[in-house]
Amino acid sequence: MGEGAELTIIASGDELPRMGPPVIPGLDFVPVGQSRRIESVNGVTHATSSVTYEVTPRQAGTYVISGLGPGMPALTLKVDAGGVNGSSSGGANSSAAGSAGSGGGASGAGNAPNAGNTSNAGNPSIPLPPGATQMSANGAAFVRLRLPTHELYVGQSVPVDIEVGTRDGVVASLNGTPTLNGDAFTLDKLSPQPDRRSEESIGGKPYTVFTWHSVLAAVKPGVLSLTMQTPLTVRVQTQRPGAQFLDDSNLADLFNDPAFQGFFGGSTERDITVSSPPANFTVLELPAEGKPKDFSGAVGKFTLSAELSEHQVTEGDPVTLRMRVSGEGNFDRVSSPTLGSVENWKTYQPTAKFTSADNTEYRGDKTFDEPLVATAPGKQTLPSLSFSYFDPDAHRYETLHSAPLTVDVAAAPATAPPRAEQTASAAAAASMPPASMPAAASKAHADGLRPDHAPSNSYGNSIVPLYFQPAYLSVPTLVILAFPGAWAWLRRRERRGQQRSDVTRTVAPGWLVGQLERTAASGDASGFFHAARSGVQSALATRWQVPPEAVNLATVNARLGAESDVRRLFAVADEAIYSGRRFARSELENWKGVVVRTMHEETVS
Amino acid sequence: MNAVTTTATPRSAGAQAALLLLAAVTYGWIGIAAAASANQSVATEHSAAFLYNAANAYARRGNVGLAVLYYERARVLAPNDPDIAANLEHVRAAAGLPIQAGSWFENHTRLGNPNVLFWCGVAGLALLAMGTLVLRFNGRQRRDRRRLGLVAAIAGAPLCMVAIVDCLSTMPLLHEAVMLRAGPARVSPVPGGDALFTLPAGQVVWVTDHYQDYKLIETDAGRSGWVAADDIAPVT
Repeated sequence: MGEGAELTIIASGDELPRMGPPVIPGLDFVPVGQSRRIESVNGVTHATSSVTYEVTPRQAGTYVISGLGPGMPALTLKVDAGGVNGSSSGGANSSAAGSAGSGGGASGAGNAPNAGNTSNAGNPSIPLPPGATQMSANGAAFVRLRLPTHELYVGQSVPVDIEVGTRDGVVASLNGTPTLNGDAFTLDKLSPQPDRRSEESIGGKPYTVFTWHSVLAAVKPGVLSLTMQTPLTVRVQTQRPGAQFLDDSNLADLFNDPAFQGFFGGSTERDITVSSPPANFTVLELPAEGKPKDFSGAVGKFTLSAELSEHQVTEGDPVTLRMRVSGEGNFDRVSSPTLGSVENWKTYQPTAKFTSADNTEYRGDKTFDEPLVATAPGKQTLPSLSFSYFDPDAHRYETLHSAPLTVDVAAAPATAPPRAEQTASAAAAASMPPASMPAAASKAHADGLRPDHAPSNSYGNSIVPLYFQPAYLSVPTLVILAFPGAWAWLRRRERRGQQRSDVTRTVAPGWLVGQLERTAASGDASGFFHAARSGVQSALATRWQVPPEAVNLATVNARLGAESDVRRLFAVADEAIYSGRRFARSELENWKGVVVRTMHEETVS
Repeated sequence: MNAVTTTATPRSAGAQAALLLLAAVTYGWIGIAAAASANQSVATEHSAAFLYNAANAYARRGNVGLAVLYYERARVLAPNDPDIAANLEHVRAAAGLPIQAGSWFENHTRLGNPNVLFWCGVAGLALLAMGTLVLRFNGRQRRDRRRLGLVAAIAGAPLCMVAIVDCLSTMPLLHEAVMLRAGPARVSPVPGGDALFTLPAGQVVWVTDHYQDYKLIETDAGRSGWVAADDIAPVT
């Protein structure tokens, strides 16, 4: 009692809705001001109009101020013997402006001496630490952070509200989104426009607070600090001539009012950057102790569930296993709980989809749809799935397990088994949303994608080209190795063939051997010995470098001796030719051996 | 002694035996490998059509990372398929991914399915080897075999060259990978490593090294950093 409160009704748009002051028994509303403001936030212009009432209670109690306008929440005003406290009802922010031109809001601020720096702004679930609001040098703006905790683990994501407060009439425009200073943290990308606008009175001066919601994560351990900064344009007072003569404080306030300054051209615009006070963090390393093998870096609080699209299928038909990880944390590190290789099941790579429960993607659920194909009939059981994460509140790793799932698989009809390609395509299609499945082919061009291809007969056992698979690389290697081997073998065969033919040519010419054999077979001793003597004569003539006629009995006797086989051959040959002596077949064979041996000796010697 | 004309019978038999052996070995291996490939393929199903259809399914679901990965995999087996190239380009453009230029050599020397070209190269190598052997060891005596050997060598040489060129242009694919989800590239391969830049899902990178659960990648623009191995998948 004995104090007043201020009620400001703000409407987005060009005009304030026509309305009179609220009529609440026990409260007096006196209009004290009306304003219209045009703001530029990252190039987008917002127009707001407001009207302010001085609220004076006539008696202590709790008052509900409603009927302020369409869509505006009710306000609760408590008046006790010590002062006035205003708040909005229903948890709604009293200054949340609706869509341009139609929505509106109201804020109430007590004028009590310790009404505080803030009122009805920001996220009440995240407390504002002391000293978080630090004005820029001229009090035109501030940047501050609302964080749920100042102790983090590496990789842990925490929601953060980044608030930029601008003094009404002083800040001309925001020229960009707040940015992070320092490389020890990562901040999810901010939208160009703030997620929320609110009004706030600090030190009795009105501020418009723009709030961005985002997620902050630390990338390295240690005691770290961060600041945020944002660029904006402010109006700076120019020196007024004769200002030093304005001793009256009321007059000084009037002339120093930004609206007055702006109206009379007594200010100029200047680009500045406003930073938040440093926020300190203790960033802890994730403990190595107790780290599960399947831990993929997820930090937060999660739950796991699994379900099947069908519980009764026919062998060869696809069924989708949907695994859902829900909760809050860094969902970008939540990987698929793997099913791995399961007996009687053919598994495919799952697809992932994240559905965020808020606009920061801090809360939500991530689903993994894994197509499966049963390869055997009967009651088949899929084992439980596991997912591990680190709980930063409990300071330990947690592993979740889903319940095993059973499916009744009916035997396939006794027809040709479906081709693998068809099964795979069906499995891929099974992972699609049901609504999109029948439309997939027809809307092929509508979604900008060219249509699917017909199954082909060319398969590979791996995506790795055969050039780089050792098993297949051995084939050309074998050909390359076989080539010089075959070359060497053929070359050796060729040389051996040449040697053999040389020997045959010098030792026993084919025609001579053939003639000896023919005459021996026919019992023609005269012909046999004639051929034998001629052959030996030729061989000896070649060796002795004399004409063949010079090789006779006397020459042979002189050179080889009276006991040589050649001399005896010559003697027997004369006897057979001139006397007509008959020889047995065996004798002729022996003489043939003598001829061949003699010619061989001739060649070797 | 009179000159004796030797017949070519021993050399001809040897050459024929060698050629038959070579052919038997080559085609035996080809048959074994093809049979093994056919048997295994039923269980794994890597075909350009399957990969392309799977990529389309992922693209329709909005999973850019897996869509690009499967398009890239399909393009390995069918590098000149216009549908794969068009859909890949569409998905990349819709996701705001940079245009993947590729070198002139990569763009102009991918002639077809590398597995088909591999077998063409093997057949060409065998033809070249057999033709050379026939020319060297049989061609002097038999004009018809000389002609046969010449034809085999001439047919085999270009097949070998095509396979070698395709092998060289396919080699970079061994190091190609796709970002399955957006993630930071860090200065060091540890969870706390400073983030250098963020790679979007579907970005194609080249893996140059690895350390534990991290891979050192390089982008088309020449930037490099360490990425969590779970965030990327190799194309081959």
